[in-house]
Amino acid sequence: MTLDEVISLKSEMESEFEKPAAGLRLLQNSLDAGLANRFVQSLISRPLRELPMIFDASTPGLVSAALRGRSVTPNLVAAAKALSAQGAEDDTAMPNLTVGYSEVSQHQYRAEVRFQRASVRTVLLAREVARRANGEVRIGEYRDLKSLGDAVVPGPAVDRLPIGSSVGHQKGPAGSLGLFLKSNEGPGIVSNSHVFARCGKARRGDPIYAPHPQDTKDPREIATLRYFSDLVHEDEVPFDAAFALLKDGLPSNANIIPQGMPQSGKRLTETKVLAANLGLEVCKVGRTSKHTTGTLSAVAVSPTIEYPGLGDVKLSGMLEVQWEAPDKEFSKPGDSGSAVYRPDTMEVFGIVVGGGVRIVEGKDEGVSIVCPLDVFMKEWNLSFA
Amino acid sequence: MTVDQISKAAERAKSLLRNRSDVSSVGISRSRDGDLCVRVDVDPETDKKGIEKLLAKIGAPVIIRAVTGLLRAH
Repeated sequence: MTLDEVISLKSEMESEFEKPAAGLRLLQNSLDAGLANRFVQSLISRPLRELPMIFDASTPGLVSAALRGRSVTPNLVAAAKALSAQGAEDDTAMPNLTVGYSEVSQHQYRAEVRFQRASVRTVLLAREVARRANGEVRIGEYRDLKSLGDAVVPGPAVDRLPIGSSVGHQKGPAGSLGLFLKSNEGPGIVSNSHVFARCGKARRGDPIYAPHPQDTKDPREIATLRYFSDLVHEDEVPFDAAFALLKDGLPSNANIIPQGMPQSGKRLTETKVLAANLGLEVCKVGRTSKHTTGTLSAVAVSPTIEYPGLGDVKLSGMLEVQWEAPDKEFSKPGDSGSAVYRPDTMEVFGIVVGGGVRIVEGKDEGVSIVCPLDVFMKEWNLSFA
Repeated sequence: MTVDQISKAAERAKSLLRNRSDVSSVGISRSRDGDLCVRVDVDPETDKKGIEKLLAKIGAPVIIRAVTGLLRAH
């Protein structure tokens, strides 16, 4: 499979998991009855516990007719009862199953399915992934998983550390993982200098944690600081950004919108913002306010930002995103570093630096300041993998 | 006005307004009509007409706004 195909499969299956009667839907797919069948559609919203009654052997003729001639076999009844037993207690429970992917050769990928506590439901779901992936899949079971703090991400599955995750330096504030980018020395992650590098006071090689120590008792060292802008010794700075090299074995190049958010499963791509883009709707995914939307209202601006413990710093060449309303923030403290992108094309052009509500010509106006990607990517020779 | 033209006009405006402590930001935005323009944020006490006169030679439409309030790192 290509990367696009495997990401699409992952997204499809994760959305399938969220449906209350996912098991039933899979049962219907296994019958090859198709969702266009009105009888099948009528079953989708029924609780799984009602399945045995519907598929009971005493009414095979009716069910067969409703399924347009397909026979109701004892196997089908048994499968329905097994599904019912799995779903009767909690029809909306999420399966203990995850779908990732791994690269098997250049530009070729396969799905990676992992589940905990094998059950009819998880096995059926795993089989469904295998069917849709045309067999290009590896299925495994997690056993004795430990907390994220001391566990190694199992196997080659990716997307364990999604963009928007809580990250930061032990002595700095919590921020957001912006993007996975590639340097000459290997893959790494991007956020702000004030998140990764204490505005320039940190040292190259300092550890970067996820989640940030203020968000967990069990922070995990995921990367080491490599490049960062110095906000301390300059009056006007061209960017507030930092790059840290990922530790060996951690996933890279997973610029995918996390599950449960608009555009989830879609992958961000690079672009450069021009003045022609002014007025476009933009989104971001961050640690604190998660997915939010705003409007690109200005480019090449030079705002002054107040940094806690440092004071005012003037940035140049920044982008400005206007909030939907003064009380509807595009970004909040902890969202620094979040990737900002166009939802229509998934092109990403910057990372959040800061924001606030100002009075403009007597009216309140909320804005977030965004540091464009192209400047620091060029400076540090970074690229999208 | 093209993107290239407005970018050059914004650079000229920045150069002319350099070192003015009452100018908080110079950038590029759109007017209410949707046209590209140079946007200048100033203190409420600033003489807008004086800024307008100063920027008359940059060859681009200019919006001057009175702005107060802090932006903080997030």
